[in-house]
Amino acid sequence: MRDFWATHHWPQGERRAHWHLLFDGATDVHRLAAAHQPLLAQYPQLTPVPGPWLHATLFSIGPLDPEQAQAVGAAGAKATAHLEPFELEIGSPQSIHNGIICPLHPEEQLHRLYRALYDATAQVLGADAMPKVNDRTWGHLSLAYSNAAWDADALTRTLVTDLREPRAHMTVTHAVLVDQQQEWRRLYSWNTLATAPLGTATATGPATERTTH
Amino acid sequence: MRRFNPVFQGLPWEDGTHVLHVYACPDLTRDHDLAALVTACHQAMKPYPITIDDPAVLHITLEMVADTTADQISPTERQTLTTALHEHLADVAPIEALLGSPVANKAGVLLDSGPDPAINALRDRVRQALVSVRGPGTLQHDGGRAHMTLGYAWGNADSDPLQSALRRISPSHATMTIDRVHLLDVCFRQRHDDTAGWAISWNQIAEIPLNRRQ
Repeated sequence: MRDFWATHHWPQGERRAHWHLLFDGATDVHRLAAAHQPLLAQYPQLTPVPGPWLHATLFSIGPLDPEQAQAVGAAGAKATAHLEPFELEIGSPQSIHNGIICPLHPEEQLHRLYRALYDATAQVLGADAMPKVNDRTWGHLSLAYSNAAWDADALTRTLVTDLREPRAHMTVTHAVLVDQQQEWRRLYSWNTLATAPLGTATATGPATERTTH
Repeated sequence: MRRFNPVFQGLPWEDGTHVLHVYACPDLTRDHDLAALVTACHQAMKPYPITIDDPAVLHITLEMVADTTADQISPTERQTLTTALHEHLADVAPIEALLGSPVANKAGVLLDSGPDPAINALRDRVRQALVSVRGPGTLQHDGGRAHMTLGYAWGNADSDPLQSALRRISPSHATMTIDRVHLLDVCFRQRHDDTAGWAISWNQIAEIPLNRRQ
């Protein structure tokens, strides 16, 4: 397994807006994550993601000024109003090249959500300001980032064969625009800028501050 | 990943040994999405030292009859096992299993399988059937979470780039209807080629439908 942080190192103090799925109140997802923490804590080569900061990135936008953030949030909410909430399966946890993740299924609905938010954001910022569009969305929830180069075969085997924690399920009702910061080699944290509910025409919420844990 | 070596009763599998198993096998003529997922995974696995399983031997292991080798189990005893499986599975409802995501692990590549409660309940019934005939000593195998192996490693390689390739496969999940299980006489044999990897084959003893009482 490779060092995640070696290839994910933001300039000091930089903040980047992201569209995320968040798991606040998703008790089944936190149950799944908590069940794996004792195992992950056995590996100092892993940096576990604290429960309050569990997230699934839809895409990174980059720095936004307040006016841009408000416009992107409003555009996102307008776009997701036309998407129906959907059921999401989270897990089983597996190791990848730079950490431990839970795949998200089904990816078709996730991709529709990604694409709606991407297009809405591009309408506000312009295509030149956007990251390359993805043809597919491989959504995942990170449980831990690798902080070293190491042989994770034993952990991979344990995840696949020894743990039998049932996968988690939740209903995706909204996406969240966040103003994210990186505490390098520790965690990602954010302030919420806006919420984009699915299946309704209402919704840009006020900014709510969250403290870093 | 590292070379996979099968194990029987805690010891290395003797080349050519046969052991009875109960498997859930996919019908790829029916489960088209699964066939497509398997094909995509096999394509990603080609550059790696993995013996890619013929789709005809794809399976989810439910249990192994591990107290002895297959040659020590007579036709009459096999019939008794078949009867017990029929009885214990007669009121088990078919399962619409979800296979995926693909996972590169130490032994090769597999598809994770769910839903866990339904598959575990099926495994429990299979175990009860085997124990009712051969006693608790027949359960000596812990295969962990239910999964479908797509190929066993015959050499060492870095699994990370393979896992990245597998992650790019979409859709990453597919359904498999489990409406029967198979009692099989399974053989692991070392291939007589440069890889000397292990290959699996079997002869079917019985096919046991689920939900026969409905």
